[in-house]
Amino acid sequence: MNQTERSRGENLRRAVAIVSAVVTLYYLYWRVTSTFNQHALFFSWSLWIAECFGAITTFLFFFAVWRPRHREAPPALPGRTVDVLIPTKNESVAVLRKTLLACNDLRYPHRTLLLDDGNRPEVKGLCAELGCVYLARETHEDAKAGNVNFGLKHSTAEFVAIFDADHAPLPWFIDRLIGYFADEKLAFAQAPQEFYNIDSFQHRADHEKKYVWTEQGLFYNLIQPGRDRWEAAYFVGSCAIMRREALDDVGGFATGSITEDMLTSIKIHARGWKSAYHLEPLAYGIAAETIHPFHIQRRRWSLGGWQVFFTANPLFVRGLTFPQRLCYLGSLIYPIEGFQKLVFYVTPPIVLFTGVLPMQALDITYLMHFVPYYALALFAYNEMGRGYAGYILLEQFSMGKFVTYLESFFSLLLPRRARRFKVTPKGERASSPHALLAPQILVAGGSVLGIVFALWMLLAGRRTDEFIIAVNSLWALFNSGLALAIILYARTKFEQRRGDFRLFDAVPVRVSWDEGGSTAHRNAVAEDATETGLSIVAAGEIPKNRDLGLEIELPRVTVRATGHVKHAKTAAAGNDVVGRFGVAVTGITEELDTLSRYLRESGVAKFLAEYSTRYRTYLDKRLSKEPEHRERAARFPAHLPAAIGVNGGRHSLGAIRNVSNTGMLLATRDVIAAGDRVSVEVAFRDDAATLRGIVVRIIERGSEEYPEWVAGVRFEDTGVDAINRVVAIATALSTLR
Amino acid sequence: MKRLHIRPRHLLLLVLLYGMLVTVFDLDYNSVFIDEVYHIMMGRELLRGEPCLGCPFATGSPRIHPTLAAIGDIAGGIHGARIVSLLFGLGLTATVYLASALLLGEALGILAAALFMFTGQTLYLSKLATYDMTAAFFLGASFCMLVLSTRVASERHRAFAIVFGSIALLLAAITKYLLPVFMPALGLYVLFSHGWRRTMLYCALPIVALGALYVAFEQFAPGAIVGGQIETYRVVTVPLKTIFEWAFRWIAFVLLLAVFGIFHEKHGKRAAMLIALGSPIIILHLFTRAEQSVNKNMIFAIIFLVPAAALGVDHMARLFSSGTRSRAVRVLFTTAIVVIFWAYGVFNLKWLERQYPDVTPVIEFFDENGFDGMVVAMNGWDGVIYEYTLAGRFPRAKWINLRDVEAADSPEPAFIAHVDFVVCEDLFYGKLTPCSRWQAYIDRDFTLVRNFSIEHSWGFTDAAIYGRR
Repeated sequence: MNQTERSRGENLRRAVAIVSAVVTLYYLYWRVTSTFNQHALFFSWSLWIAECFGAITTFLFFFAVWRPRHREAPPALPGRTVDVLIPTKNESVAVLRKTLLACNDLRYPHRTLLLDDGNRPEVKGLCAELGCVYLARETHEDAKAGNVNFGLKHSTAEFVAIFDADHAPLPWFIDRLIGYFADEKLAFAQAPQEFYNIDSFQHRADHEKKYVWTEQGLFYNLIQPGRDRWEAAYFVGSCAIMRREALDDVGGFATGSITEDMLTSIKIHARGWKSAYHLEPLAYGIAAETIHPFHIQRRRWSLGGWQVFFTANPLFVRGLTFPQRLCYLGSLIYPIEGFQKLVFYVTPPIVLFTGVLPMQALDITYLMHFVPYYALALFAYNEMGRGYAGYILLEQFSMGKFVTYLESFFSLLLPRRARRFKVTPKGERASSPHALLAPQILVAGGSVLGIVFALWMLLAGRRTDEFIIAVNSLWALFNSGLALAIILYARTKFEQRRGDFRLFDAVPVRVSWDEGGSTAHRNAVAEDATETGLSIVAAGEIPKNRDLGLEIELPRVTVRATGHVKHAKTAAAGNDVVGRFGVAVTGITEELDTLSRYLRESGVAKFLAEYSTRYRTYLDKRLSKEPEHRERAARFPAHLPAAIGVNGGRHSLGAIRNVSNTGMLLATRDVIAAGDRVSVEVAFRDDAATLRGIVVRIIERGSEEYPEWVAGVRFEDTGVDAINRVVAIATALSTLR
Repeated sequence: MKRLHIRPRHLLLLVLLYGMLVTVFDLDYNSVFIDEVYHIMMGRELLRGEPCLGCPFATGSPRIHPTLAAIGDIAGGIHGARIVSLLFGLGLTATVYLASALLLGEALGILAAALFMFTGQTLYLSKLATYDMTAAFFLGASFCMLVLSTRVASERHRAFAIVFGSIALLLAAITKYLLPVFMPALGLYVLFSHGWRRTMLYCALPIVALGALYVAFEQFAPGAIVGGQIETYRVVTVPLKTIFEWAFRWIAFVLLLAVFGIFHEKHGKRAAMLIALGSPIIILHLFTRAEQSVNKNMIFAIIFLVPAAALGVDHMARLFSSGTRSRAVRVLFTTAIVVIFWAYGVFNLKWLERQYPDVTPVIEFFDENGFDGMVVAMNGWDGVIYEYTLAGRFPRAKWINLRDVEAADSPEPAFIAHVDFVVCEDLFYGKLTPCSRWQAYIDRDFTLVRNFSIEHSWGFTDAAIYGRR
């Protein structure tokens, strides 16, 4: 989409939002003046208020994202002092190690301070090993905010960078953000919190379409840039650099709420300081893997939101601008959604069981008001969401969270001790209590029972409100669908089987094992990898339960380890065999940090770059002249090990990522350019298939430290038999999923 | 063990079997309806070559459906006449399947056929011996031919499909004179699919043939027909809000689903087109505010709305099962929506079955107490019902309207002819001529012999039979 198309699209979006807002206001007015059921006023008011809340949050959303601001990073300011603060309480040493290593790798001169509220000797030892400053309080008042304030007392730097214990920054994090502080009134520069474990509870990944949706995507990709336009981007507790002077001006991190970040932001903005939001992934962390930590995290956020709402309500805090008040209000009132959704979930069963309507009549007049209003509101929301909204998925998460929000509200009534800061458990093997799904099971069960009951009454001739039953049954089905989706997804996520998320990649690995006194070798490709395990693909068999020698060929460096095949699956295509093997890494010590660094700096970025996080909205599709799909031959994902020779040179180990009858996609560490001629050998048990072609497309991947290329190759001078053989083995491999 | 493969046509057979069983086992759902009798009687007269006095006032050509209904009647009485409609109903369901499958694919075709068969009006009109289902079949066939014309490869086949579509539209238009209202919409469909020449081909045949037919048969003179139609619609107009509610009462659910179809990922535009194609009859009723047969006429819109509704169901099922990626879950939601639709349809069917008065108690009264040669006066025009039902038992009985025997110039209420019984029913057949007008005279010369309460889907009406003192 070019600039003109983009600006036309933006203007159209805003026009749609205005029309939708006007229609919504008319609808709500009509509802309150003409539709209330005088015999069920409480029911009528409840539904109307729930609808009003939806309208208010939508208007606030439209306002916040009216004109998102996308900043280019200014040049780094040299010679400033920066302290990196990492508050921790109970995160594992393995998680902390990765974060500290990443902080040590930050290029800008800095000091790393680990603030351990767990007072753990092993963490102290880790800091000593990695050369970081270890600080621990004797008392632990005010949770994370108190811990960071404690760190501030030991810091003399002009700026502090703050990271959650599970967030590992990229080496250029400070360089990209420090330039914003050329503006003396800038208090903090915030980067998005990116999460790489796309199998987490808050992600929905479509691996075929290479699309991933995350519940927080809308906030980080759109709402924060939108708020930035109104000088209201807020600090999210991690992945930010803050000016010490600004923090001192507001008395350090605010301690009146368990969401210290928002309260601190309000105080900073109220004092006239500015903020900047830089939309570029500069640090990667772990999202809540299962429903349990997700529930804990959201409960904390919403409880903190309530606390801020009652103690530092942005509508009344002095010093904020009007747009800032609106933006903060939008971020604080969202937990009320718990009540709104409760009304939406119980309304259909009530109507189906009792026949009592929250309006005079559910007839064509009502639908003629409701359908245009709702369709337009959805359309406007989707367009203003600029491809990050995902209405249905957001509704699913609302279903997942509504009781969490209600709980947080009612926990305000509990003694203060019960409202303590609870750390979100991450990066650990854990299981979630099934009781967390009870609300969704109740909603689904109640809705289905209501439908069955009402249909039975209708068929028995004991009810005559057939259209009311039909519409409410559809509504109840919709709610059941949301509940069922959450239940089914949560069931697959009840247990975190692995300690860490395996990043999909295509890393060449040389495998060797002892076979009757001699050493057998096989080339393989690691499809996914962590420091503790690999899934490798090899054209041939690798014996199960056998100790392996592994040479993991990272760009520019080889990591040596030992492993053990725990799972093996093989498939045959003619005489050829291909296998996928789950390998537990057993012996890796000195080079573990090298592998970690590679995964953090290159693996994560490469992996996430393969996934789109934004979908095309209707206006995007209508206004863009780019075709949505290009016709090309069917491709088979392969990840086959291959020896790649460029322009007749020597062969080095790489991988075929996919193959079709006309070409293939190669991953290689050799410098390669469009127009180069390549020769690719795929070794089988007894012989090899050689594919030749010309490079037609090159994509540079990886990082400066770990450069890689992906090359699109069109077959030339290659026999059909060789192509068919490789395609057949790729097809066989796909059956092993 | 051999795996069982369920093919779409097997499911279609199941759908048709359902419709057939539901209808065949309930052909006696109500006493014969006045329009059924008119149709059968006109058909009988034409078959016998007798003068057809009612033909010029018919709202459809007596040579199509009434003749077929009369043949059915000869074969099996009212059951035979009603089965004629059933055959057209089954044929129309198959046609809806074919058109939808061609437009949207096999699975959605089956879904559309099921939705169509589960609609209350389809099942009701399939056992009502009036011209509605016959006309609907021809309209559906015309649309199906047009869809087929966009799918066949050769030019010749396309032209054939359009000509057959045109013939079907012609048959629909002369079966029920109301149906040319669909010609502009279908013409636009042909225009956008094939260009103006084929549009002319499609529209010209019905126009010319219909005109020629009117001119060729004196008894169906255009003036009388058009005048009759206008009069019918003039007499039974209702306020806009009322007609709005009445019209949408019969299509509300299917239209709601069809509107969801507009948001279908793949075929959304087709859903919008189908809604537009079905809209002429709705617009006509809203425009004229005529309530005449609005419940039955909506079947013509439903033919086009159900494929769009099938898209809506598919879209809803996708929304409801979003994120689960399980085909089973999607099928579950599709089934759940179809079950809701089915229950809604059954309710509507029951409602329609009791929309007209079940005058069986009156018939039974005369069966027991009547005599051949009796004269029965009633305040409605429903004498034909009794004439048809009791003709075998009392061939010389006369069933007349009170107005026909009213002494116009008499200072006191009086009948100019001998009347043995008076039947008063004020709320349905007799609502235009309430008995109160003659009540003094009836009270003087007659005595109440039987009082009935007739249950309708919309309430109760009382019927009273008076015998001469």
